[in-house]
Amino acid sequence: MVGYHANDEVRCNKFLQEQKYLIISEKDTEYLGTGMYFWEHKCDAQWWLQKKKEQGKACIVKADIRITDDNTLDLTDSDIAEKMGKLIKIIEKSEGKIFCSTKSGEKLDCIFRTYSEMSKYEIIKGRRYYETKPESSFLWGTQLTTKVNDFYCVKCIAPIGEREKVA
Amino acid sequence: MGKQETLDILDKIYDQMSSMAEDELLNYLMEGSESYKRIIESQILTVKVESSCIESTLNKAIETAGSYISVKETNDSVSSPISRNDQWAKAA
Repeated sequence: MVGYHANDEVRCNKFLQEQKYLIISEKDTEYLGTGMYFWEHKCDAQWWLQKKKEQGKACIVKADIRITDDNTLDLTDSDIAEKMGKLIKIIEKSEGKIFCSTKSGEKLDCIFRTYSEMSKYEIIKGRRYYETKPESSFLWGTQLTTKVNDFYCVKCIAPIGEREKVA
Repeated sequence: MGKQETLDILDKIYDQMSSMAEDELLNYLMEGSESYKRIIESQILTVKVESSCIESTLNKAIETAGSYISVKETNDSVSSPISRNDQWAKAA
């Protein structure tokens, strides 16, 4: 698949130029933990682009990402999310001792670091609902929506292929 | 196979976790975090001995830092392995 990522121009350029560089923030503790985040659609990266532009020059890069059943932990799959939820529930007993917040990313990172079985997953796939995201009037009153976005947290360089600046 | 394998892995971890007492699990999780740090540090140390060129040393350290990290930002944390490596490289 092709993934889109918005960030400041310096880091985007570095990502384009250096094959081993991923844009990873220490602050990514909220969603899927440590990794570089990609959106499935360029328009979803646009929102982040505007936000980044408030702080300076920013752009959107796209990358080919090799996603397979074997290298991806798909948390949009209800069965897998259910089982992960059971693990997280146990982990939460240690809240305040190993990690200091209630954020899902920290808990996922904790499981990834502790259990070597998880190292096969190079990517975590997640899905987010944006209640206030505007959508086309043709969808109003239907069961269809564009308020739900899939996104990917890429944890290592291996699944990343060609890269390109697109905005 | 992919999904079933994932479900089996998560079941296996759940069984391990749920068979542990709370304190035991806490220690295990803490040990996991600590051993992860130690692995990264020991790999960086090995690279430090093996190479005299800073650029290739950094590249090797990045390669050996494991599947979780390729290159991390260095400006906002001294706790990331690559940040430590970067500091070491500057010192070297």
